[in-house]
Formats: sequence, C-alpha cells, structure tokens
Amino acid sequence: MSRFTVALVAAVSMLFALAGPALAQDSPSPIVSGPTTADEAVAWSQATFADGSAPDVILARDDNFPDSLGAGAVQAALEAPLLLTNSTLLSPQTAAEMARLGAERVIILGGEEAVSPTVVAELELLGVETERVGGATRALTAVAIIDRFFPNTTAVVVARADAAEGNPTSAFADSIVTAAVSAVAHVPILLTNSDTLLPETGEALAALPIENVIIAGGSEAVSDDVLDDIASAIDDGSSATEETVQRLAGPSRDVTAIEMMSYLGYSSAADASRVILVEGYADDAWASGFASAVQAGNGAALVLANGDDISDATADFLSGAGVPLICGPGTTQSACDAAFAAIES
Amino acid sequence: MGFDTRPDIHHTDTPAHQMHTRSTQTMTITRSRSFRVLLAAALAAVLAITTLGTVDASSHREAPLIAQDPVADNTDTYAFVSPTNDDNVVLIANYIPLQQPSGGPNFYNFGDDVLYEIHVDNDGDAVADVTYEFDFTTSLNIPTTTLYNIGQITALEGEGAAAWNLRQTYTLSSVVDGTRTVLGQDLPVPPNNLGPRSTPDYDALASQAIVELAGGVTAFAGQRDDPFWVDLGSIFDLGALRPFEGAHIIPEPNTDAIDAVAGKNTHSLVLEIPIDSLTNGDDPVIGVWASASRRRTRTFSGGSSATPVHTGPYAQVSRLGMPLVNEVVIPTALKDTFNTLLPSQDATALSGVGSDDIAPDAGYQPSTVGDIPIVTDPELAGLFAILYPDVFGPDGAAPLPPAPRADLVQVFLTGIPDVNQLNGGDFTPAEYIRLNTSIKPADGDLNNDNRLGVIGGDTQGYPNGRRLYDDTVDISLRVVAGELVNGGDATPDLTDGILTNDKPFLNEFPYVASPWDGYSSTQ
Repeated sequence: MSRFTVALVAAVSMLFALAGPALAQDSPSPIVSGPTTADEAVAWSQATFADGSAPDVILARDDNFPDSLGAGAVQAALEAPLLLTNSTLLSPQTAAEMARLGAERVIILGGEEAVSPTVVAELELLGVETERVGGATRALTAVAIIDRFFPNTTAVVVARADAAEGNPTSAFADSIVTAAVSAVAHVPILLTNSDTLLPETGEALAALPIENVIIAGGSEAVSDDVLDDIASAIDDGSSATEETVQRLAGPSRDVTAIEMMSYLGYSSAADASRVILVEGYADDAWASGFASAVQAGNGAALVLANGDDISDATADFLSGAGVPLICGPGTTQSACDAAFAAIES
Repeated sequence: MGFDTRPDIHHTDTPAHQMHTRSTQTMTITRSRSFRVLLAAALAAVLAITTLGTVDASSHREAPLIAQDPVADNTDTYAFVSPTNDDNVVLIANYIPLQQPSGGPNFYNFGDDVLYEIHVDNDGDAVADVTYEFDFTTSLNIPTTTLYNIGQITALEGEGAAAWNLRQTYTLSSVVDGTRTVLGQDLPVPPNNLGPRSTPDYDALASQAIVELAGGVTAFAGQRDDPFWVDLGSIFDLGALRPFEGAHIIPEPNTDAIDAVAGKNTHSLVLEIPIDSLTNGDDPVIGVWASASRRRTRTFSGGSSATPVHTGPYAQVSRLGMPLVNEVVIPTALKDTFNTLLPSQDATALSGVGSDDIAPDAGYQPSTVGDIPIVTDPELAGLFAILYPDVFGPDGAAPLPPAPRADLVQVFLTGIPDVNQLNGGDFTPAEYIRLNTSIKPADGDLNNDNRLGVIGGDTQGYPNGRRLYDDTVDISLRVVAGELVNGGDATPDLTDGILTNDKPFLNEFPYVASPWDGYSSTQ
C-alpha cells in the first residue's frame, strides 16, 4: 500500500475513530482469599508485593484489632505488609508468605500475650530477625509504635479501641479506613476508650510534640469529653504554637470514611488514581481494612462496602470517577459491581 | 527530487551510522528582500509568543510551568523491541533536562516528592493497563559534610560507598488494573558522574545499579547522557535550518549545525520487560507514555525544619509520549494544560483547538476542517510556507499537502493502519507512542538503525515506537513537509543538520550512553 493510499484510508478511518467511545471494561472481582483474617492479610500482601520484594514484614495477632490498627503508618514507612498470626503458633499461611516475600526482618506488634514467645522462636527458626514493639496494653502498644518509628511526630490520629455494648464492630467501625489515612498521611495512631481518655494515651499526647490531632469518628465513638481532654493534653501553654483537634466523622462509618478521604484531599474519587473497596460492617472487617493500607499509597482512595451493597453516599463519592477499582478480600461481587457501576457512571 | 528552476535541496540520507558530523548544504532563492523582511516581522511576533519562556528540545522545558520544575520534566520517552532479546520491550523515560555535568556541589537527583510513571495501554482505550511507578528516597550519609562525596565512590554500597554522602534509592512498582505491586525496594541509583577522581570506572559503578526483578523485569534508574540531539539555536531563530540557510526568508551564510544537547546529561528510567506481560492477547501493539506527578499541596515549614510537607492527591505535571508534540503542535496557551491531560482526554480536550491563520498573505490558507485542527492543520506547516516560500509556498517547489492532514493524524493520534494501530483499529485517538512489538530488530546494533524509521523504509522505527537512534527531528520535519502524502521523492530532505547523538548508544542494557563527567565537561 502506498503512503498516499494509507493517508486516504486513514482520512476516512479518522472520522470514525475520533468519534469512537472509550472501550467498555468489566467489573473486577474481589481479591481471592481464604476465610480467616490471616488469609485476608496474606491476600493483600500477595497483591501488593512481588516475590522477594519485601524485606520487612509487620506481624500482629489475628483475633483482635487494636495492635494492627497502629500498623498503618508503619506499613507506609517501611513499605511493608501487615500479616496476622495465631497468638500462640505462627500461622502457616503467614509463614509461607514471609518466605515468598523474602522477609529478613519481622516487626511484631503487641506484647507477649498478643504474639507469644513461641511465635518469635518459630520466626527465628525461619531465619528472620525479629523486633517486638509492644506494651502491656493495647494503648501502650500504640505508644510504643510511635516511640519506635515516629518519635518526632507532630500529628496523631486518636481512635477508639473499645466496643459499645452489643455492637462489637463499633470498636473499629471508624478505624477501618483510619489505618490507610495513617499510612498516606504518615500520621501514627493512638487509642482511647470512647468515654474516657486512656491515661497512657494522655501521657503520650502530653509528652510528644503534638500540634495536630485527628479524632476518628463522631462523639459516639470518641466523646466530646475525651476530645476536651485531648485538647488539654496537647496544650503546652505556649502561644508560639497553635494546637488543633479535628474530628473526622459522618453519620455512618462509610460516610466517616469519605470524610477521611476528604481530609486527604479527595473531594471525590475522581481525585484518586484508583479506588480500594473494603468491607466495612463484617465482624472481622478490620483485618482486610487495616492490611489494605499498604495498597493505599500513590493516590488510592478507600471506601467501605456494606455486605452486598454500597451506600448512596459512597456511590456519590465514586460517581463518574473513571478510575480503576480494587475490591479487597472479604467484599462481595455484588458490592464490587455496585462500586464499579458508580465509578463508570 | 528535482526542483527544476526552483531551489535545489541536496539529500542527506547517507547511511545513518556514517552521519556523526554536522551537515551544511546550500540553497538558492530569488524572492525579494523587502518581502522577506515584511513577513519576517510578522512572524517574529508569532514565534516570540510560541516560544515565550521556553527553550525546547524534544520535550525539554517545553511548557511554561514545567520549565520551572526540571526535576519533574519528562524530556523524552522511548519504546522499542529489545535489540538483545526480541521477546522483550525496552521502555525509557528521561527527566531533568540539559544537565551541566559539572553542576556541583548540588548535582542532579530524582525528586523524592515526584511520582514518576511509565504507562502502557494495550487495548486501545487510551487508559493505562500497566503502569510502572518509581518512588525515590534520598538520604544523607555523611551529614557533616558540605559535599556530594568526600572520597572515591567505587561501589554502590559497603566500603566502596563510604565516602558517598547524598544517595538515592527507589521502589519500583507495577500497577495492573489498579492493583499496585511492589517489584523491588531500596534499589540503588548510581551517583552522578563526577570525574576520574570521585567516580573512577564509572561504567562499572553504574552497572551495579542494573537490577533483575520479578516477572523478568530489568530496571535501571540514574544519570545518563541525554540521548536527544537537535540544533535548538537555529530552529528557534525563526525556524532556521542551517543546511538550508539560503532558502530561508531571511537568509544567512551557511554554518555548521550545533547540537544544543551535546555534552548534556539527563536522568533515565530504563525498563526491559517481557512483551507478553504488556500486550493484550494476540494484539502485538502497545501504546506508551510517561508522566510525572506531584502532590497538590506543598507546605513550607514555619518552624526549624526546612523540609516541605507534601499532601493531597497527585496531580500530573508532565506527560510525554510522542516527541515534539507539546513543542510544535500544542499552542503555548495550552502547553501546561496538555501536560495535565491523560491520553484518553486528548480527543475531547483538544477538539476544535487550532491555530489561526497567522499569515494569509503568505499564501498558506489553513483550513478549519478537522476535529483537532492543531494536528490536521498544524501551525508548523503554515510556518514552513512562510519561512521557505520558494519551497513550501503555494507556488513553491514542494507545496505542502492541503489540510486536513490525515497523515499527521496517523502519526500523532491513531497510528498507521497495518503497522501500529491498536486493537484492530477500534481505539480511542490519543497522543502516545504506538509500538508494534511483532516487528523485530534486524540486528543488535542500536547505532546501525535507520535514523529515519518508517519514512526511511524501516518499520522497526519511529513512528512505530521510538528507538534511541531515530532522528525524530528530521522525521517530523519531513512528515510535516508532506513526505507521507507526497512521497520521499517529492519532498525536500529536511534536516536540522544534526544527524545523530554525540555519544554512541550501548548495545546492551541500559542502552543509553554513560553520562558525561563533570571534570571533563566544557559545558
């Protein structure tokens, strides 16, 4: 075909091509995972790290969330996955994942009741270096994480760590996305009870050079009294610095998640490079939510699913964003489809 | 081609590997001096606007905002089938333009606050299906010194690196369908090439920064010779081409061409990747572009720390697929905007955007026909007719093809049918490099490629992908002059007179030549 003929053919095809719509894409499937919290953490790790690409690993217990909550900023700082284990014996899928990652150092979050010396011994048999960062209580473990990794931080997130009676997931309801916010903003987390500021947290707030505090959730999650106590704790009495306490909250956990995205600068999902959908209401939703923080870097926005659906507020946030969607382990295909439909709308 | 009684332009297509010297040629014209001066005065105003505040090469400082942000300035992007393994494709993105090799004590580094990306579209929707992200981290290892190094650097780590103060490492990730997978962390960046005392045996040192990663990916990030070549000084002096000084509306004596990028360095991101991890099914064509993004908010500390804080979502500040597009196609008023666009936004954002008829008295009548007039009816073609009226004017020896220019649409927006169109011709028009990975290199010598690519009869080259040796300036000049429409015999062999790079390319990874060293530099 001569160049001239090619040009003529192109002139015709151009008229069609310039008017052509973008090609349709399929809704993604949720990341495949086993049924346990440790499986879900492994699934995030496998999605996020190629073989041999993670010399550091963060390890926490698989049956309770507070120690893992503090891992968000650490995941970002070390570019390391959060893995979970049985408290008394190293979970085999976690051990296998560490081997795949080429882990050389394991940061253990929590005290010996959370991750037993037996687990540590097993890790050492695997040839990895271990370092425990923990305290006698969940609040002290959060403080220890800051002492170890963020001793000069001027900002923290404060999140509740106790559950309302009859509603066990309320303990972490507002924190599912908090771990990711902590990771993206490089702001570590301290813990409190809902109605009373835990003394170890208050002492840490007073001791650290804190200027800005973000409260995760509304007054039902962290009461106004606690907020006042936090403000008092960080007030150094100097007029040279102006301390701020900012509450990020909505009427539901998924709206709180959107408020947190807004705090990060995402007025809608269109501001993000991609969207991560994690389950927000299941009993063990914390595990996938916290582990997803390692995927949140470089411009991702996190939103919550509620079983088979997403809320109207979440759909509005996603509407027309036109960015890729990742559905985390534990989400359903229906919720994933709903999120995808909103993004592509 | 024969010009009969019109100006004679000598062809310059001797074998590419023999063209390491400057070319000077002659041309005679008969148009009156006064007419030239009148037109030149009009053009001076136009070109003053189009080049305001920029000193361009392929995409070096090509837009007002990015010219002030060299760390994020993507200067060139390349995509070609590997000459050492034709099951692989090589992707190169260069940043930080026009580096003076001796520019210490603060030499050149990637930005910790910049997200560098190389994107691949494999289904024609102009949306990235695979992206490679480079995140850099800078550390000072001898905080008490004022210097980049306090002794010889003979290794990238350990005792041989003990005297090396400012170092960089990076994390390389791939993003496939939105999922970001870390391929490697703490990957080393070699030091700048300082000179024989500080960085002896630089090639061996830099080779230590070549890393093999999961998925068959080979990566390198670091300083290299700038592989672009162009006579900037002449081109931006009212579009002069030194070999054809005599044919210009304001003739000057013939002088040797000057490679404005010679002796300058850049920072290269180089990847070699298995083709089958980039392509979609049986379609061997991929679209490639690179970008740099910054977080939207930078806050300068009011306290004792001098380190700014970067927050918020990423905003793309630099973008480059095909060379020279933002320089000579996009109007200055839109250059910054173009750098923020995704390829999928091109057809919509640029729809209806076109240059005005800048000098109708010159006889060139741009058409308003075409969805994207800046491509179908480019300003540069109009300038050709004005600057070289005896050649390209309506009564010239080689009149330009009339608008709308479907041939330019092929080059810049759609790809060439049966060569490098994506998805069997069902695609979204977009500005990026299109590479047909099924067209394999003829041999392993990068310096033996046909510098004129497709118009030179070599479908392995530009605009099918872009190889290091492709002379995109000369190719673009000739394509705009109508070579794809009128054929080579009827189109002047335009050239800026610089026919190849100032250093030969490597025939092994990372292919881009070693950087000029600061001690020897006369820049």
